[in-house]
Order: sequence, then C-alpha cells, then structure tokens
Amino acid sequence: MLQLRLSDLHERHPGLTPAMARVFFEAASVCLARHHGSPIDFTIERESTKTEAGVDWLPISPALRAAYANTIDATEAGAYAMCLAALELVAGLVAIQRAETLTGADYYVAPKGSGIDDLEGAYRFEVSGVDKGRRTLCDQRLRAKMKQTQEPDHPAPAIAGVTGFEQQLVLLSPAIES
Amino acid sequence: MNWSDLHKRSTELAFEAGRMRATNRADAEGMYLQAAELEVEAFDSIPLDKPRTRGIIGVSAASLLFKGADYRRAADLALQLLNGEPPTDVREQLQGILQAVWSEEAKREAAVKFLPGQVIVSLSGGEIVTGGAPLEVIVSKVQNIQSLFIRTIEYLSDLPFRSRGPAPVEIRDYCRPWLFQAPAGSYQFAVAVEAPKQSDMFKSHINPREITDKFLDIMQATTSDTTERLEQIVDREDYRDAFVRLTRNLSPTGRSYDRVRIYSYDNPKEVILSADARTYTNEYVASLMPADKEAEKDTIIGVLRALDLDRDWLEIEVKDRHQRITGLEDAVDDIIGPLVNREVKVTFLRSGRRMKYLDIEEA
Repeated sequence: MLQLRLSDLHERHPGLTPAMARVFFEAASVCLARHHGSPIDFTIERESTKTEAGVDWLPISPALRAAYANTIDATEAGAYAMCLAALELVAGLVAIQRAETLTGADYYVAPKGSGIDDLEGAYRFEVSGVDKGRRTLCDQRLRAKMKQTQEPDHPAPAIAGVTGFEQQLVLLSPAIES
Repeated sequence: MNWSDLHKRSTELAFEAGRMRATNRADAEGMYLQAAELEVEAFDSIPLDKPRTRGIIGVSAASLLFKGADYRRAADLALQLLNGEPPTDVREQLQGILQAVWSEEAKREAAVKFLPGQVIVSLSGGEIVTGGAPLEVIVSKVQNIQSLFIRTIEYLSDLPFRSRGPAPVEIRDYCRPWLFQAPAGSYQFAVAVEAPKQSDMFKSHINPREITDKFLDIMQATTSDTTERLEQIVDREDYRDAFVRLTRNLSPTGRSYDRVRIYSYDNPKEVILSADARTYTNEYVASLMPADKEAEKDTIIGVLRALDLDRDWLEIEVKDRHQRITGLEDAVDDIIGPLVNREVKVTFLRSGRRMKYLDIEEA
C-alpha cells in the first residue's frame, strides 16, 4: 500500500521551512482526527486516475486541538499537508518556493530534484480544504480553484488541489497552462 | 548568499509574521519589514534572463513592504517593476499592490480613523467591465455588504435579533463602504471599519478587530461548507438565517455578474461566490420551510412593486397584474427591502385564494 507522508514535509519539499511543515502536519492531524482514527486510506484522484494511499497522523492532545481550534484556518493549513503529500506521491512534484502576495502567499511546485533557483517552469499550487460535506462540495471547490487559476492576476501555469477530510479524498487538477 | 538563500530567510520571517499578525500587529509589521529587506535583496540578485522568477519574487517583495506598512517603498518598487514590462499576471498583481497603497493613503488622509482590515469586494463577469458596472447593481451590492457587516457587528455585540427597522445609529456608524478604483476585469469596492469612539456603547462587548475576521468566517461558512460549520460559527438561529439570506442576495444570478470575490489585505481568507453559492444557500433556506406542506408550495416570478412589513404583505407585478402575498411576519427588513423594483422569485403556500409568504430571492 502506498503512503501519504505528512511528517517532515520540509525534508522533501525544499520550499517549506521546518516551521511550515510542522504547522501543516499538526493542522492535518487535527482535521483528520475530527472524523477518523489513525491510520486510514485516502483516495487521490487526478485526471481520472485513482490512487489509494494510507495515511497516519499525530496523536491529538487537548493542547494541540486547542491550538487549531479555528476550524477554517486549520482546514486550510491541513489541506496543504495533504495536497502536497498527494502531489508528491502521484506526480513527483514538490514545493520548491513560497512567495508572498498581497492577500496571502503562493506555493510553487516542480519535479523532484529540480533546482530551487529557477521558477521559470514551476507551477503555482492552489490548495483548498473541505472539513466535512458531500463529495460534490469537493468537486465544486476544485472547479472554483481551477477557474481562479485562470484569472488575469493569478500566475500561470498552475495546479489546483482540494482535500476532503471527511470524504478521505484528495482531488488534483491537471496542469493548467496560461 | 544567492537569491534563494535570501528568499528562504525572508520566507521564514514572513511565515512567522503571518501567524503573529492576528495577535500582535505592530511586531508582525516589523517582522514583515525585515522579510521585505531580504526579499528586495533576493530580487536584486536574480539574473535578468529569468523574467518569471523576477516577477514572482518582485511581487513578493512589494507585498512584504506593503504588509510591513512601508507603503511608499511598496509603491516605488511596484512602479519600478511595472516599468520593466512584466508578464501580464505580474502586471495585474503589481497594479493591485499600487491600488492597495492608494487605499491605505486615502484612509490615512481621511478625517476619521479606520481600523485595519478593510474588506474588498470584487464583482466580475456578465455586464461588469473594467472599473464600470450598472449603477443599480453596485448600489444594491454595497447595501448588501453593509447589511452583512452591520449584522456581524450586531451578532458580535450579542444584540437581540432585529427584524424591522435600521440598526441602532452607533452600530451603523461603525462601518462605511468606501468605493475604490478597480483593477482590470472587475469592479471592486472596499468596506472600511471606522474606529469606535470613546463613548461607544458597544465597546465593552466587542473587539473591533474581530469584525473583519468574523465577517469572512461567516461568509465562508454560509456558502461553502456544511450546516454544522455554520452553526459553529453563528450559534444563534435567527442570525444564521439572516446571514444565509443576505449572502444569497449577494450571490450571482448569472445576469449582471458571474462572480463575487471577497478578500482582505489583512487576512488570507478569501470567499468566492459563484452560481454554486446560490445553490447552497437555497438548499439551506429550503430546509427551513415546512416539509409537510410540500403539495401546497408554489413559486411566482415578477417584479416586487410594493411592500408593507407592518401590514404584513407584498405585491408582485406579473404581466401587468398585481398579486398580493401576505404573512410576512418572518421577513427581515434588510433582506427584502433592497429587492423592491427588482425581479424576484417568491415562494409561498397556497391556501384557497390566499398566498402565504415563505421566501423571496432575486430572480
């Protein structure tokens, strides 16, 4: 069985710092533990290909749960861990840089082993999370993210990813070119 | 150090600053400025034959200067980069930074003081063009956003739910919509929250800085997730219903505009309202209607011509005929009021010749 590796993401994704990787992993753990007991299987879907992968996570202490009490923020941060691990597993792409924008930050992904000094061919990775809800909600969210990547002020090319924590699902879009 | 080493250090500081901003804005701004200095240095070290890399890191550096409240340098860097004829997406982002700087400068020069955390509302698609939109659409959406903000403040202040009349004047004075010029492809306006006055009767109940955060949380919860999430964010049923219906009024019907984007420079949360948002809010509203009277339920589409909430009726004009619908006791002033003279769909229960109101939305 393949594994979605959520821990120590910074060791495989040079665009993440240890602090980012820790926050993403902790947030993902809290989100997963809301619905499931560790470990479970997740389905990753990309371009009509389905991949099954196991995932396990941190034990949840009251302090950890309290630190990620804002469900919306935790879901977004946790989705980064899930989507990056899934993209690494099924497409061999890893985060190579993070760049600030006016309203937040963008992550850029490229094939594993690519240099981190060059963003000329890198894909912007647009991520979203769904804590609980129907499968259609994840599909809607992916469509919205894909549409967003085509807005004039969004750097292209790009890839979109959505994690459905309750649904045990990661949806990844194909590469969206400019 | 090469540019990526400088950038990595900048990234570490920016990430920490982002986590700190909600609780300690002043220190976060200082940290953003440190990150910006490193990012400017990184940008200057990127070879000229890497235009996309330079564009992305240049936007990052200007954004960090903005977040560090060094607005003049943010604008100078954005203008310098724009002079270099950057790729389209980079140009759009740099124009957004310039616009944000102008907004901040306008706020600083205004006679009143504003809290950090204005919300930007951007409409696009349909009839919307660059910087232009039908007046009635914009007026109605500005009112709509203002109602959502006022309801958020009332909710945070733990006030009794108001179904008739305007909010207390102290609440209404809390926020004012400000209109700003639009970036390419959309029309946008900002809602800035005025700092509370010393005598404010609500100051003991509410942290004003929570308003924008709560507003964005509510908007997200009303449109894109489950009822449980909404119940967690808004624990009072009357307010919850009002928020969902107000959000539905803002969601695109597909005629005048296709998409609403709501965001803030101070908060990474972003809300996108598309046709899906109307579907979701309609599902929620439908779940509130009496399930046992499905056979008597009907809808009518026409122009809302008259409305008297005190006498409990509204009139719809359908093919030059007026139809009266009664039983508006659950209707809320700021939801139904802005729909007068607009084409609406009314859901009602038919009982003989009597039509009893259940719901109304823009058609």
